[in-house]
Amino acid sequence: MDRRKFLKYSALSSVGSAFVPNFLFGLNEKLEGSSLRKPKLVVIQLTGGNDGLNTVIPFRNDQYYRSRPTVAIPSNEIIRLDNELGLNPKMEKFSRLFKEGYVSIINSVGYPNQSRSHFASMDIWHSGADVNKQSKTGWIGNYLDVLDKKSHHALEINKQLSGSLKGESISGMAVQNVGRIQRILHEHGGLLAQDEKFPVGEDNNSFLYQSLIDINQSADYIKEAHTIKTDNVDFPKTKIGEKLSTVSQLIRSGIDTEIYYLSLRGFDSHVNQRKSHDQLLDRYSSAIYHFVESLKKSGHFKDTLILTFSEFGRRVSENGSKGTDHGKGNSVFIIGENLKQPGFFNDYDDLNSLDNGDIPFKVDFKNIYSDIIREWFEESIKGIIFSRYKSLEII
Amino acid sequence: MTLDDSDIIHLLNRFGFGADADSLISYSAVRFQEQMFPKKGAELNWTHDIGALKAQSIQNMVLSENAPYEKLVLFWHHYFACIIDKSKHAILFSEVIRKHAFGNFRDLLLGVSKSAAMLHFLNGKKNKAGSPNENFARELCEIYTLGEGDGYSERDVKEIARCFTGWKYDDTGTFYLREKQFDSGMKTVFGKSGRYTGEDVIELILSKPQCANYLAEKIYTFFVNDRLSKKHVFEIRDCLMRTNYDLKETFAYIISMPWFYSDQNKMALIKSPIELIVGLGRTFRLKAAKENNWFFVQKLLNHEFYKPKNVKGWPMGREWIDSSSLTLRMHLPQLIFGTNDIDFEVEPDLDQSPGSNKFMYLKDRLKFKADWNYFLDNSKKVSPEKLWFNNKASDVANRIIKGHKGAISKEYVLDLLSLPEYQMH
Repeated sequence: MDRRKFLKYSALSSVGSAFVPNFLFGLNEKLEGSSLRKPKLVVIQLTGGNDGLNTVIPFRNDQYYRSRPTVAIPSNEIIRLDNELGLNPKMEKFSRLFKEGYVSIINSVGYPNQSRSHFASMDIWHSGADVNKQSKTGWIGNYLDVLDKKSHHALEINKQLSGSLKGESISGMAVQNVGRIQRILHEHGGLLAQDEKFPVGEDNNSFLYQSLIDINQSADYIKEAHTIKTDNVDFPKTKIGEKLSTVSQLIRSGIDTEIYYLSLRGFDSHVNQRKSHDQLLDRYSSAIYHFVESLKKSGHFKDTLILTFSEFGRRVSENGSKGTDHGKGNSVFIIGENLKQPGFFNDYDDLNSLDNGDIPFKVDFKNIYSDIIREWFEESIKGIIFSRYKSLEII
Repeated sequence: MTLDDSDIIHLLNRFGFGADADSLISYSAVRFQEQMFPKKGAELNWTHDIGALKAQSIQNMVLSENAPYEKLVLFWHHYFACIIDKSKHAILFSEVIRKHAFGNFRDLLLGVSKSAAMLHFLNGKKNKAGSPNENFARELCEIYTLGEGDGYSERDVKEIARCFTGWKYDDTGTFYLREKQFDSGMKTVFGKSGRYTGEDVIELILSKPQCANYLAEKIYTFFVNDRLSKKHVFEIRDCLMRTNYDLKETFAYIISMPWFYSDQNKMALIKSPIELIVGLGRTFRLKAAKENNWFFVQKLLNHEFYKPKNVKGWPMGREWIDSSSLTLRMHLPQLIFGTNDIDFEVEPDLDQSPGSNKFMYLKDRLKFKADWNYFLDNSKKVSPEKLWFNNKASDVANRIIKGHKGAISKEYVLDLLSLPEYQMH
């Protein structure tokens, strides 16, 4: 039995209760102290394949306008960031963050032999594994597993858990379930009543009981620790705004969660793309701006890094329905206070040398994950990311 | 070998979807063995909508009079993980599995390799002489026969890919060889050279003990225990090799062994979501308000027919468990029986636009009707605690069982179904 399990079991058998309320958490706090840096990561998944070319736009590029007679954004509307690249006109708030030096934009992110299937590509981004080394766990789940974390150290603001947060022996937690989890655990004759003798062992039934106790502890912890229930800025009343408001509340509560995960869906813009896509970017831009403002006010922004990705970019040429189909390389945003390379990490490639009509990938997304683990969390990638990369020197 | 009640419950848990009172009373092991191995499963009239087909796949298991057969079918769907979008391909794939589920592994492997579903999924149809696509060759070795890196080299993968060049399927999903695209040159596989075809390579693979060992491990994990006993895995491997991969004989061997019924193997496995749902379906004779509810419940629990996460397949055992899934699974009976309205939500498909509520709300989608009279009649013959927990209830479960007085009530049954023990078999 390893040390962690021993601690858990001995705590249980000596106290004889599922509720070991803050015994373990208290211990952690004492060990860590309050002066140490407590890095947080917020991951925002744009589901459906965000059209990177209409998000970060090469407004001087003829090829862009030739390929997209109806979908391209007129160059006079674009928010210019430098002489070549600009942002979708709906991203004015996001551009303020960029101009403050809080944003690093990495273009042409993808992976070798990229899949154009939502399902397969999302699975690859979630797992953090190579295309040929498919995995049943996700990179954040691996992080929890390898570093012996608890469920609540990675929270998804959702009702179900995404593949990224699935670990082998421990997974993150879908936070909109906390109330539900508690309700279920306390029903049925008080399944986890005090002074219960829980099965302890290496068998699967003990594993289920042990998982329940973990879940219960994490749910209790979140509920207890989540003391701030008000906003310190006016978050937009959109789904993404509400989700980021929740994350801000949790962070400001001082809860020891390290990773937050949320998604914004609807980016699969095959038909009449302009209006719906612009609206999604508007919601993203506004919510993220207020989120940063909120954390700046409370002093948490310096410890928070925000990663935004999508499972793939879209084709350079528009399709016959005023939309765009599934493509490959895409832009990734990293937002934080003290980035080493704010601004553009790299240019777009020449749109004339495409990979089968798609933006070819130049930066492997796993390189970004790897930098986050090593440079942001200051941990080894061993057991979390399975290929080695040289640092991009962004974070 | 004489089997007691607990042994028969165990047998029906593993080669079936749980024991019921009647079979416990009437089954002797000998009879069970006879009934267990029919030549072929029931003929099915497949529906041609992929969603409805997924619903039908589960309904077959709920309604079947031959649960052991359906359990084998489920095993092979796990074993040959394949993502299939077209109903036509899915039906043909299922037919191959149903035809050979208890037959010979060689025929099954060859049938699956030649199926339109597999040729599409692992890019076999793009594999041509001069421009080979190695995807299928690699997964054939790694996932379907030998196990990762066991008994083959990168060079072997390249050469094996050449042997499968020209494999195609036509509009009806029927396999054919396009001679022009077949690489007829010399290939060297596992150190032997010849003008091998795909069929030849499958023979070469089957002749390797690693293949029998890999299959034996998968069988043991699914039907016996996910903590492998090397000794018993070797026995299964030897049986596969001795019988030239005869599945019927191999499964008959397993259920004739005393170790299969050992205490540590009983109630040792965590049910997959489909095993959980089918078990409930059979015990309570569940009827869906709408047929597609059988599909919806697969989506809810992330165990969807023809849609494993990737080529590695659906999760197994503990991999199914996280905070959301475990609480959902424990709560599933109440959702299905409509006694609780907690708002579970299903993750919509990735390409779904916001605001669309195709799968967002559960209210109507989880309506099933349970036949309580049927269940109560049965529970008078054999208690549900005995059938469901097989003498393995924990102290927690026993407290709840002992705290119950009087006749079996719906409330009490829901308490039992919500115990972690019900997640086990």
